[in-house]
Amino acid sequence: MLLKFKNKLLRSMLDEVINPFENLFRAFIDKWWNSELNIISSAAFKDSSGVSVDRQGTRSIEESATTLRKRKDSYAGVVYISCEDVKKAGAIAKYDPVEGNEYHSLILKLDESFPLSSPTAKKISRLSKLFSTN
Amino acid sequence: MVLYNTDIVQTSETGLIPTIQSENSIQFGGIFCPIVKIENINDDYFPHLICLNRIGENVAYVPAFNIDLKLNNNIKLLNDFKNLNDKWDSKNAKKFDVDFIDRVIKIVSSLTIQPNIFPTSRNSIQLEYEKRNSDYLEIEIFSDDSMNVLTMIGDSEVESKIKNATQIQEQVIAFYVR
Repeated sequence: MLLKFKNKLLRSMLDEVINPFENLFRAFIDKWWNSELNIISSAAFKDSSGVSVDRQGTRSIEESATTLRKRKDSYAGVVYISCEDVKKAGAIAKYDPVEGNEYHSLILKLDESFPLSSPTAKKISRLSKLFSTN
Repeated sequence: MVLYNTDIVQTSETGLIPTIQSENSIQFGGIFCPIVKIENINDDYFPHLICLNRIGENVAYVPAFNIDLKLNNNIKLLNDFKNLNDKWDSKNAKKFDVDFIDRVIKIVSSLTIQPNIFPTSRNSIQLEYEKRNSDYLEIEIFSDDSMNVLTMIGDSEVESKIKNATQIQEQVIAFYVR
């Protein structure tokens, strides 16, 4: 009961619907980085339980990416993609706050199921930008 | 098969000069490379391949990179995947079955052109080939040995399923010798 109330409170802090121009941030481990081509592999977007991302909300790109990157030592970096580009790739972003992360969201198929198809995962990886502090 | 001279029409990015090893193979940089197919070519389309001078109408294609080094690196990478524990993706990924990784190593060892290799959170290993013009070939191998293939050439995308390593080799050769 208390958890439901907490989640309801979290949802009220950000719009339920993610703005098309809002960015979504995905942390990646080193094994998903193609160092030969300097791009993220589509393997980073293949998850049988939905692709977890952080929505930008009212934060800057830098704050969003840095906060996510620091969450775990195993993260090698962060890529980001606009909600609009997710749609162009044939997927949708759904706001899904969880305890400890009010920005948590999911990238799902158009019918809100998962996992993403291989072509969609590849398109998302191609449209993603690497967050760099340089 | 006709032997070819080694005057280079178009060199690879590595700048290595090949020498003829036999009717069926070429050696360059101390590395043996089998000739994978003989046909006429469009030089501009294959920045990663070496085009040898023609004798008659035939031209040989070979992969223009160090096969053995990349194979060794890929085998090491796959063996490292055996050490991944549950939640290696910081979420819900399961550790890989060792026998599955060994099967993938066997597949990768049979390929004349080495892929880039990545693990996925859905218990599969992905082999990727990508050209500079963004043409893309992906083979996703699952622990039940099913294999999904994705080819993206220009605006075209084709998904298919294959059954064995021989078919992977065929897909890779077809991808590079277009």
